[in-house]
Amino acid sequence: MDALLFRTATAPSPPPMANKRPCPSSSPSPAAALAAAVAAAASSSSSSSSSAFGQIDHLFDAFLSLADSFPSSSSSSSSSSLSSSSSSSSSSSRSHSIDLSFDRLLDARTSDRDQALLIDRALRLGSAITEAARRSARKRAAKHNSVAWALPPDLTTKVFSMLDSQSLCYAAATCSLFNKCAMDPLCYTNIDLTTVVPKVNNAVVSTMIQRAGRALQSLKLGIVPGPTMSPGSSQPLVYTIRSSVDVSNFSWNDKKTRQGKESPILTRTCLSPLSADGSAAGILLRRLHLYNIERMDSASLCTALSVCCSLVDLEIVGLHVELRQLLTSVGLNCPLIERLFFESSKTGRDDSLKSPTCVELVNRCPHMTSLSLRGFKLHDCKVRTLVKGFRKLRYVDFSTSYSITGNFLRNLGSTSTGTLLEVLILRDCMHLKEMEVARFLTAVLAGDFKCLRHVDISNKEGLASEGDWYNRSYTSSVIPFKEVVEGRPDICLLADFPSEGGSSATSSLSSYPSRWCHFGQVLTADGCDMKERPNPRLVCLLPELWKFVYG
Amino acid sequence: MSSPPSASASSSPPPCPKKMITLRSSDGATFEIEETAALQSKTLENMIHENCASTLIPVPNITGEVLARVVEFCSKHAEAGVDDESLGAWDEEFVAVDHTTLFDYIRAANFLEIPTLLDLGCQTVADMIKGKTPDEIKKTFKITTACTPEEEEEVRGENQWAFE
Repeated sequence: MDALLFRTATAPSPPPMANKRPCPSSSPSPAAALAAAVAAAASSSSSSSSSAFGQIDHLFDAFLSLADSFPSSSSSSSSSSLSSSSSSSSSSSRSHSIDLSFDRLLDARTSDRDQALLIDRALRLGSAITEAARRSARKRAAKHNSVAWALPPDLTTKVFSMLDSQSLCYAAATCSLFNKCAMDPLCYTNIDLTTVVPKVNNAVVSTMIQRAGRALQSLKLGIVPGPTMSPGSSQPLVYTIRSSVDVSNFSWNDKKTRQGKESPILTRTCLSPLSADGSAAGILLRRLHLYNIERMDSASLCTALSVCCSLVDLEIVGLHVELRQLLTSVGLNCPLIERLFFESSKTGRDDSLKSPTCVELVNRCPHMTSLSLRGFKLHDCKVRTLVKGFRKLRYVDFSTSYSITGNFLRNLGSTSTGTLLEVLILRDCMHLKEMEVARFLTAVLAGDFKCLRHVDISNKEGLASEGDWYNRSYTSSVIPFKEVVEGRPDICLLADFPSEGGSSATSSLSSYPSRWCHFGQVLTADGCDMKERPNPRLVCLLPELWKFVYG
Repeated sequence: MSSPPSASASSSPPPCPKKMITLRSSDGATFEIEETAALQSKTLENMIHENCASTLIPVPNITGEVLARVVEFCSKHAEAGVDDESLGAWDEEFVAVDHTTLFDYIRAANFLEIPTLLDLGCQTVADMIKGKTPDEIKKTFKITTACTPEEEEEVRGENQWAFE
């Protein structure tokens, strides 16, 4: 034993231990094989320090200092090339290079098996060291982070619950603590996966809904062109994905599409997670906004709605869904609904609405306060059923509707709806008659529609004349604009028509009430009407209105 | 910012209009706060009701510097006749501090259960995170990461849609 120790102390490199004992089984610690050398190292170290280091620690310490002899370029991958020392000038002069040393050890073993063993030991030792170092680095980083980011996990989660979905994903990718906190259901109460171009697929939706579980309250999904427009604005949100939007432009992580089975965009079953797990997520959902999901159809949407019994706010824009089917489904499944915003994907061509549907809807959904049906073919009688039937209705928007003439407004002022109605928007309704508007505004002047605050009858083509709707009326001597503005100063009246001769200039008739405290802003009285007002200002009013109506 | 303890340490109710509570921070500094302002904190509210005899409440988790600001916040929010707009502006100025101080506010608000300050602080930090890439977030808050490249790749992969 002593002779062996002596030999190890003087030898330039540790001799192979294979001849000392039979081939070692998969011993966990390669350091055991160097035990003899450890003793040598400990005895040879001049200062037998009274540190807490054990023998192995000393050896390990000495061993680690060998790392300094690594060439600066990536050594692990180029070990084979460096063994031919001429290729790297920096290492050729270093006799202590790990690679050279290892080669010498390898050469000292005569049998293939011994060489394989040596390599195996080196790999195992190497990975053990790597793991230990990484673990420590993570611990150190976590410790450092707990000082730099001084909030405990529950408060971190609270901060994250105030982030939008995209920022949440960025935060999750920052460090492991953030990643963990970002998984908390509280962060997924309001899921907003609306994007400008298609880049969300079913898997993303599913993951987020699963993470939300019973905490899910609001889900927004789909393609919204440009910065998110306020739903109260008159510009349509319908956006058709033209073929020119190159699907191959997705920098989609191909790993995610398992053998191409996973579609890169939302499909008709994207809402099925709402029904999963006993519909845990769907039952408590209060707000659902869907925009321009090409592949969604009536059947799949109605399936999703069938579990959303707590739904309060439903906004559907640009989906290929039939109006009648949607309203039937809402009536059947969402008795608590307060806001319905439905914009057609095929302007004016959906004529599916039937009277019984309207009757059922008003009976089943008494809490409706805001109704917007844009771009459908609506008949006055059916609209009348709806508007009269919803006793709490405050906000009505039938912009870009076909067929309605305004007849439904007759004698509405004294009904309960008429008394509560605050906002009426009939923008760009092709068949809206000048006479009906006049009749309506006369009633308003007479004191009906007490709560009315906002009326918009603007029309790019002007209003329909009495006889043939094809004849348009641009200015109006019939409609008491000025009187309304003066007599009902609390009403904002928007009537934006093209000027005669089809020039690009528009003449706007609009009024701003002198005090508008609901909106937290005070607009000075403009002396009203007949003044030119640029359009953007008109559109800007409506988002404010939206916030007012819907809190 | 310490002040001498209130001389009128009335032990028993009826509560006179300007009853003052004294708080003592972890480093021994004392601060006076009106009872109405202190009621913004659920923790203090409970303590007040339990210790109606003494009006000196130790707050061991919070340093004097932070406690002073918290007292300021509660007093401001307990003031009558302040309209929402100017209060909002005051709040904005209050949280215009570096994030380390913000964390102190948040932790203090959490301990003292002051929902208004807690929400304000968390929202401010959230706003500091919004719109930033992971690298920018790391830089802002001086966070390091020891994830392996594979781990980082995995997390990014899960949230791939956000990075495109």
